[in-house]
Parts: sequence; structure tokens; C-alpha cells
Amino acid sequence: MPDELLTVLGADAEQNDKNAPELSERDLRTLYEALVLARILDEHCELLHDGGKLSFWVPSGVAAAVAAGSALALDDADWLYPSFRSAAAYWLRGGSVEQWVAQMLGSADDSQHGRQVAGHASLPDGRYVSVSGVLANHVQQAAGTALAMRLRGEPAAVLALLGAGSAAQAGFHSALELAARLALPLVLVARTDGHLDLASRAAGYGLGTQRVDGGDVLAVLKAARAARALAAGGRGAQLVEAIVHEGDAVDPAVRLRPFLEHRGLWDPGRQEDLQQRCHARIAAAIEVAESIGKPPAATMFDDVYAERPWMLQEQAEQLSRELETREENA
Amino acid sequence: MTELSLLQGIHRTLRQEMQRDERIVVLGDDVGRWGGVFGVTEGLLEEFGPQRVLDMPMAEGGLIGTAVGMALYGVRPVPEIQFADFIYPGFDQMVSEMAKMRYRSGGDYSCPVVLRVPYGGGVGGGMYQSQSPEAYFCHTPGLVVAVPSNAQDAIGMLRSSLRGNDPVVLLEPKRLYRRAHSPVPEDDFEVPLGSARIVREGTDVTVLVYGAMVPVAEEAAQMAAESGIQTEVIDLRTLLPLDIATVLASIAKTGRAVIAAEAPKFCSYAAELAATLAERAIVHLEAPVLRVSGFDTPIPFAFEDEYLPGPRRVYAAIEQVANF
Repeated sequence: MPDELLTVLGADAEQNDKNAPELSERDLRTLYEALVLARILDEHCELLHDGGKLSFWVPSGVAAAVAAGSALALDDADWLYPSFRSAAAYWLRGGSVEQWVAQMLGSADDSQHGRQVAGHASLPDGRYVSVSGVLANHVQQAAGTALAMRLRGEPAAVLALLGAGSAAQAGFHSALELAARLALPLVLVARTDGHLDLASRAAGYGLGTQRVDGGDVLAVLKAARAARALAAGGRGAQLVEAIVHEGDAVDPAVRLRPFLEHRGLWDPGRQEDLQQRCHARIAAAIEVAESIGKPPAATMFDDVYAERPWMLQEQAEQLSRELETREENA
Repeated sequence: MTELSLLQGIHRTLRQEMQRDERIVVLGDDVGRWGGVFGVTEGLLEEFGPQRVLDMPMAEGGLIGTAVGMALYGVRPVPEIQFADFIYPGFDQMVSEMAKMRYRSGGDYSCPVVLRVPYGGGVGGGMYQSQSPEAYFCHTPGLVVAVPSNAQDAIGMLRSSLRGNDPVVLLEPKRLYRRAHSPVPEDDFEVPLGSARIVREGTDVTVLVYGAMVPVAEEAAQMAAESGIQTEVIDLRTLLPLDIATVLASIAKTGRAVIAAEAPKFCSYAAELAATLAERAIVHLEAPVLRVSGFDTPIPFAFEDEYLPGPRRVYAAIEQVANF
């Protein structure tokens, strides 16, 4: 039997208020703003893509609610292994919009030196690991980090975000096997369309599970927070199946807004102001990224090894000569 | 000086480094209670406990992925793969994750996993317990690939690996694990990764080898000496990055090169060495660079001896380039 589907945001405002997870006004606003920002970033990305300036990106879409709710459920000491559609989580873990955009466009400000396509920002201070380009590999790594936490006796947890596609990968299953066997402080938040019934599969491995309405950011937060408490408290690994219907595309910010209004935290004036600020901030970040250009090409030879071995040194010199010749000929 | 086998050298160094650095954790299939399939990790569980020595589920992808996640957290994992032949489910984690973590995070994370991998033939293991997969790993920027051939090098290279910040694939020639005991210094020496060793000096032909092929090449060199050919044998020790200076200096002296390895010939590490010599040493070369290798087949159980390059096959190549 699948778990009951957890929902907070329904039609009855009083009921919503009663069901909602405990949240300060400040956190509630931050959560809402992250969702709005994710939506507006999607709009800018679409324009950049249409203009030929962004070759690859994955929109946050409704999944922003899953990323944001999950990120806000964590303590500072916890780790987050994101997947694509996790921009909101990056910001909620302390990352800046400007760095996200710099990474997305591979500008000189990108701390990863233009090595990865959009959506792979890294944030070690926020214990937010750069998204892997390969499906489900990070699930196994999250289990490894959770194991390391356990060995060190740290009272924290690891949360990994993943999509339904990851559930077919071997790494997903070997991670569940290990996490269940060792009762690791691991929380997996998986987006599915509900047909997979991933929760039942995870329960088969021995994980605690909860199904949740993935477009409902407060429900995700509530479920992820409960799962996190169980996992960190020694009750074993947990899986939250966040059911998201990409097609219906109800903006999770729009769904959350009446909740804020009901608490007197929001009004149309604030909304307009927020949207303007988000647009302006993203537009400014894009402008900076486009105007400062790419990082120096020589950085491509850094970070392959702790120190550059001879062949990389030679190749760096070769490229430098090629670029000089190109400039002379230009 | 103590006399140790290659296996004892690895065991002792693991133990000493675990005493020295409490971040080091050993993990793998049966590395704990059973002490590892070859006995390399024997006694470590008793000494360091289940927080430092972990028996893991039999899933190599899971094992290596777990090690990557541990390394990001600041632990120094030393996973053991029972046989190199079983490493392929973990190949994705090695190539896509372990090797690229520092690069893709812009230096935010490094991934100092020391992956211990018994490899090679000559133990009656047949197709799935005899392979030499080094070429796959050497094609991956970000990995260090090292192959000790004796106790002293194994100790020094393992120490360097455990004290460094790069992911290392330590290919251990299981055929040599218990074959010979050799004296090792007692001090805290390291063998830098990326440095080759001249095993035997000679002026006529250079033989480039590593791992289990080192004693084979020594034997072939002895046979050649009896025919009046002075062979220089170089143990490359680290395949990636290669000690190019030592190799080129030897070729400048001898002008003739033979490369010998157990792996299949086509697209092998030996092919990389031959191409490197063609690019950088052509003015010194007096003869074609010859590769002595296994055949381009899987390793058939009943014909292991016929498959593996032995001293005679290496000697034939030495003679051929010397008389070219």
C-alpha cells in the first residue's frame, strides 16, 4: 500500500495554516522569494537560449518547490547533493544569484572556470556539492558522505535530490541497499510522476518513506524535515517521493502566495516589488557575465591534478602559443 | 632493513599510515573479518575497529561511489577491489566522479581515494581473474595510475598516495604478492608518484616495463647479456603521469626500445609509450620500437602460459631490435 499523499496547501486557508510546518516569517518570505526567483530565472534562461547565448539548461519549473522545501529542511551542518532543477536549493544554502549566473554562462567570475554547463554550481560552504553530469552517481556518493558522518559521530544528515530516471540506475539501488543496511543518516527526495511508486520500492529495502505533493513547497518541507530528523536521529535512511506533474505546471510560488497573504505577510505591492527586484538582479548578473567574458583559457589545465604534471604544462604552453598566433593574425 | 614480500609491504604500510592518520578508512568486500581476498588487510579490523575497516556489500560501483562521497567529507578511503576484472561496474564512478571532482568543482573538492586493485595473470585465474586494465584508467585525466613491482616501491608509493591529494589507482601485481622477499628500509621514505626506476643499466636496448613484467624483463635482460646485448630495464612504476625524462634519457643512450606488458596489444599503454617515443625520440632511434604483450584475446584459462609474455618472448624482441 502506498503511503498517503502529504499535502499542506489546499483550498481551505484555515486548514492550511493548521497543517503547515513551523516556519518563521523570515524563512517563509525567503522560501517564497526563492521560488519567485527560480521562476524568473527560467524566463531569462529561455530568452538566452532563444538568443543562442545558452546552449543547455534545465528549467526549475515546478521542481523548484522540491528543491526549496528540501533545502530549507536542512541544518547548516547537513550536506546536500542536488540534481538539476536545484537553483532554489543553491540560494537557500547561501549561494548567490550572481554566482549561479556566472556558472551558467561560464564567465570569468565562475568559481568553476567555465568547465560545466548550466546548473552545476558548487558551494562548499553551504555543503552543496556540484551536480554530477551522470544520473544517480551522486546518490551513492551521498550514502558515502552519510557513512563518513556516521563514522565521525557527527549528528547531521545528507539529503540527495533526484529525478525518477535515477531510480532505474544501479547506483540508486546499491545506495539504498547500503543506506538501509547501515541505517545511514541519509534522506533521498525523489521527484516522480507517481506512477513509479518509488516509496514502495524504497520500503522494500527497509527505508522509511513518505509520499508528498511535490508542487506544494510546505508539504515538501514538512516531509523532508521529518525525514531528516529521523535519519539524523539514528532511525535510518528515508525516502520522500515528491510527486510532480510537470505538465500541469502550477507555479509553486503562486500556490504558496495565498498562505502568506492569509498570514498578512504579503500584498500585491510587495509582489510587484519582488518581481522587479528579481528581474533586475538576474538581468544585471547576465550583463556582467556577458561583459567580462570567459575565464583565461589557461585555467582549463588547473585542478586536473593537485599539481600540473609535465604533459599538462606542455599543453598549456602549446595553447598559449596558439592563442598568441591567433591574436597576431587577427 | 627488514625482508618483506610485496604483500607484506602493502599490509605494513596500510597499518602504519592508519596509525599515523586517523582519517584513513579501509573498505571493501571481506576486507574486515576475512582480511581481504589475498590477506592484505588481515588484522586491521582487530587493531582499528569497525569504524576504520568496513566490510561492504559486493557492488563495486557502490563501493567506489561510497568512497568518493567519503573523500568529499574529508575521510581518506582506501577501497579494495578483489580483482581488477571486477572493477568495471565502478568504472563510471572512477571516470565520471573520482577523476573529475576537483576539476568540476573548480578546486572546491578533491577526491583523494586510494583504490587498491590486484591485477594481472599468472595465478591460474582465467578470463575473469587475470586482466590488466591499466590502459582504460590511463586514458582518464585526473587519475594517477601506479604499479609497484616490489615491496620497497609498494611501500613508498602507497605512502605517497595516502599522503597526496589526487585519486590513485594502485594496481598491485598479485602474481608478485608473495613471490619474493626483499629488504626494505625502516625509515619513513616515500617514492614520489611519477618517478621511474632504473632496474638494470645497459647501453644497447631499453626495456620499458611495470608491475609483474619487471622480473620477466630482468630475466630476459640476463639472457640477452649472455648473447652480448647490454639491456637497460626501466620499471616505470607510475604510468600516469609518466616519468618521461627517465625514459627519454635511456633511449638517447641506447637508441633501441622494447615495451613489455601483459595487457592486450591494441590501444595498450605500450602503444602510448611507442607513440611518445616516435614523437620525442625519433632522432635517437636505430630500430623500430617493439611491443611485447599478451594477445588481443581474453586470457584463456588453459593457455595462460602461452598468453602471457615470458622472458623468451621479451628476449626475442630485445634480440630483434639489437640486430636491426
